[in-house]
Amino acid sequence: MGTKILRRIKTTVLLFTGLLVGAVSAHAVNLAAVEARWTPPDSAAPITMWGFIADPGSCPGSPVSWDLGPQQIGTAGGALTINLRNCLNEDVSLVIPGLNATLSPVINPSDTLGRSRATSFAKVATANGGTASYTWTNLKSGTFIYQSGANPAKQVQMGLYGAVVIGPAPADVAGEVMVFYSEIDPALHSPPVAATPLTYKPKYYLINGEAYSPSQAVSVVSQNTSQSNILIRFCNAGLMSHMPVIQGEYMTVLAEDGNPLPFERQQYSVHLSPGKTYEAAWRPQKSGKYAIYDRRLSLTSDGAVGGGLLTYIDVRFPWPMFVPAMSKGGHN
Amino acid sequence: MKSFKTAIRINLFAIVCILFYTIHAGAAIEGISGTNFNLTAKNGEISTPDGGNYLFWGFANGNGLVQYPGPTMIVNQGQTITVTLNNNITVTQGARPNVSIVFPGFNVTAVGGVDGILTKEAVPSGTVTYSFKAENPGTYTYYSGTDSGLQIEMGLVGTLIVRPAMGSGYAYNHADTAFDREFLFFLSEMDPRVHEMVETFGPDLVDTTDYLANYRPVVWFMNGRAAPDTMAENDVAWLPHQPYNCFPRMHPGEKLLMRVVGGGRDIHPLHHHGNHAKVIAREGRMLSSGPGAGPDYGYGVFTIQSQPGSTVDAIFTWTGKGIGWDIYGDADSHTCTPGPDGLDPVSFEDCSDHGKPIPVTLPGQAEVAFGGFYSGSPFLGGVDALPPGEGGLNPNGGFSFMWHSHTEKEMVNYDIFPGGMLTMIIIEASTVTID
Repeated sequence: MGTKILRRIKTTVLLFTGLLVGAVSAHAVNLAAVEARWTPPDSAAPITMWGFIADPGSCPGSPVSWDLGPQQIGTAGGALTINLRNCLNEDVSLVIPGLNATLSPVINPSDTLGRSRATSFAKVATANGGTASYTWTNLKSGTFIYQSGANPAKQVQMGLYGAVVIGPAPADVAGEVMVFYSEIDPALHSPPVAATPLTYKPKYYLINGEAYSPSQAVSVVSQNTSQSNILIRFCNAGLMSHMPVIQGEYMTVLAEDGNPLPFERQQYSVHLSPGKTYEAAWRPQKSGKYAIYDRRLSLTSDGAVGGGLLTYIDVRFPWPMFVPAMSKGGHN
Repeated sequence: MKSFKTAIRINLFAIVCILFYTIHAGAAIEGISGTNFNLTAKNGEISTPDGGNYLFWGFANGNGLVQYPGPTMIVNQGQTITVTLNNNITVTQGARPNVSIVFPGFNVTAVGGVDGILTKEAVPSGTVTYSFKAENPGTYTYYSGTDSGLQIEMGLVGTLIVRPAMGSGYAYNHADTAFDREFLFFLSEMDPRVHEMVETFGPDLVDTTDYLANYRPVVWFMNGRAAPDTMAENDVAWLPHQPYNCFPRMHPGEKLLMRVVGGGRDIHPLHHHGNHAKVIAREGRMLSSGPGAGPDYGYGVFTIQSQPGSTVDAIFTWTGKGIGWDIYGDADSHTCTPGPDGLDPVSFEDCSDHGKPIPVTLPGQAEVAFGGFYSGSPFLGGVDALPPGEGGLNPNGGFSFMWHSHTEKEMVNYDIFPGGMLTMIIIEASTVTID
């Protein structure tokens, strides 16, 4: 594995781009920003959230059940368009840090202290039914986060985020998992207010939009016995940093923020600062459940231990097989 | 040069300082060796220089004293290692906890105990045995995999070092990882509210607080000690549960291997004044372009970011190169014979600076404020007169640099400066013996 992966990525991307000449892949999606509710695992009162959903055509009459925004996809070199309907009572916009777009920031020329300040990084879909269309061009392959670019200190932590996966994935990859971290501080949700460094105290930690449960796992089935690398895509939409550790294994870290690393790194953890994404390849030797936990120890749920950022990658090979022992990575 | 011959003005205070902060660094990291280890998890107390005393849960070597951090296990590449964990943790209220150990980066087989969420756990007064093959050299860490949010905070943490087949003078199997001295930098922090709650009401009540989610450490440690205790001797009698110091010393031209371990849950920027260090490996894997290439993808930094649960190996060196003045002072008192790099191969003076005066007018003693590490002379190996009660912490006149967390609020003991994650490195003249 190792450096061969990077060489193959570059080869694959080049081949793919060649095929796309004269036929750029463009992709349009309709989303709505809506009010939602999330019920904590300890059965406390449902928490008001804001979230992205597939646009049902008009604004829902009542809050929906909250989840991560639908995962967006695209192809390197192509384009992605998201048409956003805003059902919330304040302006919303969309940004994808790391992907190319022309932004038209909204500037408030004079706030309460007379300062000129940006209130949105991108043009807005106005409150209570406004719409706006956002396009990203010349897409770069990798893993990214889409989120609101309007009043982000308030809106992102309210739940307005989701993952973006731009292909192609590395050629050796036979399965993929997404490990998307986020956080909820209920005190900032009713009414919705901006998070600040002193006031932000998340109580709940989510992986792929779900709180911890003992049966929680991210499943992947590896189909091809000779190419049994799993690609793990890490995202952190929270406001605190986290360090996922894969139990007993090493990963080959391939990319950060969608940028391929200049050389392979064998690591058992990655440092997810807020907004960070990483991609790492990993070849499990056998099927089973592999724990991934946060070594920053966000392992509580409303203060109680035994929750938080712990999940398992449940690897299933379709039949018992012998995987040739590979170097556990690195050079010794 | 006058400084080598001037008598040190001794007084009682200086003697006391020298006794308390005896220079006793050692060329290798202190730890326990072998292939079969017996660790006992039990309660103990640590102390901090502001007068704090905190209950901790830690690992002891067999029936020895429990220590923070746990014993540094030093093994050899290729060996099969067995660690038997005995659970002797007790509580004042509620149920005694299970305890376990995880070894990130290793494929571990656990036998005995009961199933936990990460590995098998030892029940109260029970045992569990872990075994793994130390296939790859490097610096690693171990810690409890049971209720890790609480038990890592309580102190169930430690370091594991695997020596390469090439020999104990190398970090990895490549000549470019050779070192002359090695030092451990196990970085951690504590929030005393958690320890006080556990001590008074038992661990179960921590669940009713937000102490772990709304974490607020106020004491910080290097190798289990807060400054200035970092600079006392190893195994000093008045810190029975904190045996490891963190006090690097070296000669110019030597290679000092820094084994930096993120032992707590916070990120710490280890800022090592004096020179860049070359990061050669992370989490036990060299930064390398391929087998046989060594750490050719290593890079120079002046701050090593220590991430929790992660390790970094870096090599620090110091010479007189490019200083711009004669670091040994008066040209008549010493010679400089340049090697191919322009440095004297023994003293590591930059011979192009031989005889150059220090480029400032040194202020008089009535015009300066003295620090404990000033020897009275600005020259390497130099000692000179000081007013009564001043200096004393640098009796050989080395060049001292502060090595510390650059998250500056971590250089305190519960808001008292200096303290916390801070130590000094002393570059001693080549004529000074370092144990």
